[in-house]
Amino acid sequence: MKKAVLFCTCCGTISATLPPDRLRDALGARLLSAYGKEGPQPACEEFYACSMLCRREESEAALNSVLASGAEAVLAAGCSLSARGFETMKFLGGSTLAEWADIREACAWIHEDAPDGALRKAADILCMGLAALERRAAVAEKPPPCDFPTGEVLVIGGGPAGLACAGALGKMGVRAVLAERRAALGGMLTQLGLLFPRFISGPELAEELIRDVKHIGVQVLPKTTVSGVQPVPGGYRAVLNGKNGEEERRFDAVVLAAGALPVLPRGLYRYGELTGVLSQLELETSLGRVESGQKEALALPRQAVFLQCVAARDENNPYCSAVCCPTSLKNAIRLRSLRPDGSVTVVHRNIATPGKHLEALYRRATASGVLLRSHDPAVTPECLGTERVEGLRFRDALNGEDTVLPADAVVCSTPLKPLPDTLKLAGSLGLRTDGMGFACAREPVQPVSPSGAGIFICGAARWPATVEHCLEQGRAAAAKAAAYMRGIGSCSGDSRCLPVVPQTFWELMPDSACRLPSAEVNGEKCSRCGRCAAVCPYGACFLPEDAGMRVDARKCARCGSCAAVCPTGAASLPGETVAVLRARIKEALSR
Amino acid sequence: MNPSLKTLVFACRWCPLLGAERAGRERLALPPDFRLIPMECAGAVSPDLILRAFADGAHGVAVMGCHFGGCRHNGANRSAHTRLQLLSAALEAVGIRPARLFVSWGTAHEARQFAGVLSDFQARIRALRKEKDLPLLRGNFTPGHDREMRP
Ligand code: SF4
Ligand code: SF4
Repeated sequence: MKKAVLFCTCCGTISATLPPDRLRDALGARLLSAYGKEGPQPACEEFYACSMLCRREESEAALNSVLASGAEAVLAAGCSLSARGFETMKFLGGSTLAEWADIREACAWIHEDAPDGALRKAADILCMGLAALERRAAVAEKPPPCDFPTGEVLVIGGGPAGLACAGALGKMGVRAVLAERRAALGGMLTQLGLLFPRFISGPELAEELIRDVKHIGVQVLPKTTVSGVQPVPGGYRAVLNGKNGEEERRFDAVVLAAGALPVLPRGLYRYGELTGVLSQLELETSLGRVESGQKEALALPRQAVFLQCVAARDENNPYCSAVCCPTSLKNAIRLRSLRPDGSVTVVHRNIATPGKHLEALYRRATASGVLLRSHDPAVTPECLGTERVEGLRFRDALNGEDTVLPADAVVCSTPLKPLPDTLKLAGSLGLRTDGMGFACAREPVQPVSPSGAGIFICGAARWPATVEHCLEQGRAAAAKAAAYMRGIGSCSGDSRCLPVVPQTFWELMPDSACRLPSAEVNGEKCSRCGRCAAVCPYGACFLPEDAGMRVDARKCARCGSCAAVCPTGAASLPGETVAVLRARIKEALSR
Repeated sequence: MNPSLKTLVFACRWCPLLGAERAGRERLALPPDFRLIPMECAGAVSPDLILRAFADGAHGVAVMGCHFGGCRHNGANRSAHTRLQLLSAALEAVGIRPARLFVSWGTAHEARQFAGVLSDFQARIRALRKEKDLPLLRGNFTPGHDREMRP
């Protein structure tokens, strides 16, 4: 194969260290010594010097003369890839086999004081590129077929996060299927009264979201549990248990928005034994009733004491659940305005209200007369009273004294904890869980994408979150899922479709010329050892029952890990095969 | 400095390759005895490749990637790290000093970091060679400590 070298002098800054004629001679001598006169390739027949290859006119002219001379492959040598290399290579790669060699940042500019060494090194770099070109041309270019996309995203969970996600997906023109295990959509929203910061009621917000979702044409599956999701080549297979019995369906992407479980203060602070010891959720409901006029305000407690961190930050649930303090403060404000004659005291370990809105909430609570007392967690507070609760005894953290606050209601703020079903789903998808048992994304870089291969996670399933945050996360997951679906949309039915995993190199260059095929497995060589599947960070390797390993082009991000561990050499990245790498290394070391 | 000294540097393009390119842009002078091989991910550097590089005559091989937790490929660098640690043990067994393999994560993202890390490694290789002026095995592996490095 005839190859040509396009040498860019970069306006003289490269050629100051590497004069083109000397480089050409060095390259010729180097090729001669390595391969002999009639030895195997790589020989280089053409050597063109130009001064600014990144200028389109110049690269066009150079390319034309190279092609006219009969060369079938081009090695362009100039600046680094991140400077102008990518762009220029993209252009050259559009019409011929092209390879880029960095001789500016990697050679000419750092070895100015050692011109001989620099010249030898540049010749090596060019030889490495030529050898890679040679091997690359030898790669058989027949990508295996892959399954066509279904075009559907499964959203699991119809709470605030799931509804926001499905609605946003619909608005972006992506077909979403919303599976909710209960008969009605809305999740926790149906149990909540006024919400911060907009101060509209939970059911009202749910209605708004449901209207959106229905209007936009999201397929809603009520009373449907998702009993398992398996990654399969080209997407995910979900088992849905709905009104038509068990059903299997394939989806391109899955959003896990299944929420979390509110803990009840069972067995703590005499909850259930004394009347007047309530959970925050119970207070929330009765506040909602009073606000909607179903109940008298006089039924609300007059001397309320809110106790924070109940069943949270202990051995069982060692984390701060992040939603209880905001909820308490919000309900304290509501209670103050509904019963201005009463008092509300929040007994806490410390109040956690970070962020703009929550800080505003905190200020509003103190301004409306809510009292905050911090207690010493070493001494467990105690509910006093015989049948009705009469007070709360706790040790004040500031003066160290045991204090009794008279109360006709003690409201226990409890955390959210992971739902076992959600964890099972996360497990079947291969997601990691954090130390507290919630499913993990890749925080802080990718807060809603755990793996980047079509799974997204939002709402309280990933960490307790306020309704406002659930909505935000739902929309974020929708944006990510839509981008993923757009990548899939360009699928041409073979494994050369654009890798849809975000943030990879090839995403930056979505031109067909630069689309590399996904990793490949040579079925004959494969021993079915499964190492590649164990190491693939995207879950893109699948072991069929009776054949060699199969790579899912849509999930593969071209990282090359599978090729690195394959003991038989069956797995490889076309274009960057072991042969290509070996050729590069050989050239780098032979002299 | 012996001009025939050769070090291979496998650099993942998300971190150390950027450092290398920045070092070039800042024109930090470096000894010209290293050859850079850009990789999509350091996880793609197989132990086999490194062994063969030593067999082909590399004096030193460096594998550089992103810091743990910062891998663009869902932690592929962690599994690569495990593999390369195992390889270090294997190198000892075949008579190649593990010090000739340098594995580093997240240390070379900036120009000066890259230059520093690389110069240190090159100095180490040069010192190793001086200290043991022994032939380098080439082509085929012959176990034994007398086959450490070619002068
Ligand atoms: S190249 Fe990486 S992402 Fe693709 S199949 Fe191999 S290990 Fe998985
Ligand atoms: S590592 Fe190689 S041999 Fe083993 S299953 Fe994967 S492709 Fe087949």
